[in-house]
Amino acid sequence: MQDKTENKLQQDAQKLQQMAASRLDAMQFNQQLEQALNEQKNPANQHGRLQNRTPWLAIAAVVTLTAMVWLFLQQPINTPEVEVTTGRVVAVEKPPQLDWMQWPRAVESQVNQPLLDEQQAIIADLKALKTRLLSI
Amino acid sequence: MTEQQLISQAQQGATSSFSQLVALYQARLYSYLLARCQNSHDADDVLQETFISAFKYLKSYDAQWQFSTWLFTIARRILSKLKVVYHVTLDAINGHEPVTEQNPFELDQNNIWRLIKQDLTPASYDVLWFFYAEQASIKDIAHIMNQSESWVKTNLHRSKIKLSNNSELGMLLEAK
Repeated sequence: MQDKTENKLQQDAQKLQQMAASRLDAMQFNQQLEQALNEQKNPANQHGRLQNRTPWLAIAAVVTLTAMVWLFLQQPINTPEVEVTTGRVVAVEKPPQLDWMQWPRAVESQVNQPLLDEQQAIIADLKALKTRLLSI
Repeated sequence: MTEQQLISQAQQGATSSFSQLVALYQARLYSYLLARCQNSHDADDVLQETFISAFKYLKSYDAQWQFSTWLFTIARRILSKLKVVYHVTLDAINGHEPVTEQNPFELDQNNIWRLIKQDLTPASYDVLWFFYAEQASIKDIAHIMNQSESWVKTNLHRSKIKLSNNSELGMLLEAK
């Protein structure tokens, strides 16, 4: 590239920088920036308040989770076992066995129990209907 | 006070030292941003965001690079994330032309950089700007652009050829 072009590039860049400087002075950029920086440093701003709240939210979440686990452990997960002793039928309940491996199965059986009950009831209804139809 | 002393003090949280650094570089950054943004409002925002980020991450500044190189690297990163927001004004709804402030960069019809902007890609414009306006080294430009030094050299060479073939630029230089 010619020297003339290179000179023009440098001169016009300087012109642009001068224009930029006068514009920045006019809009008082320094004051605006200082204000923005102070807002960043000041913890009283909204973002700061949210950051201050974060540990408390974490603690609250941990407490809630612990309470939920504790409540879950309180629920009986064993099924009554029937034992026959000298002509009497005694229902013996075993104390809950907290086996970590059995938890998912216990939860699944508890969730599925109402569905199984309903399924059994429907089957019984159908059987009754069938016998009634056959008797006609 | 030297620039390094100002940086050291600002790294320890001295806002006044940082303000002095801002005063040193703001016009250089702003003139670059005005050319690269659609309007002056975007340039204002990017400039402010650049200095806020610089202040925030000042401790990570690596003294092996010039401070201006670091600032331009941040500015380019913010610029790349800038989304074009179209403001719907009442004038536009009523069918009139929206009244927007003209970019001051576009005002000077005879400025060579305005002409170059129309002719080059943004990346080529940047390389040329950093080389001639900022007089940065090839190594520094490569760092700002996140490219290799050979990429910068090739880009610079191609831009020069393109400009020498630009008839409008030739007329501008003749008129001078």
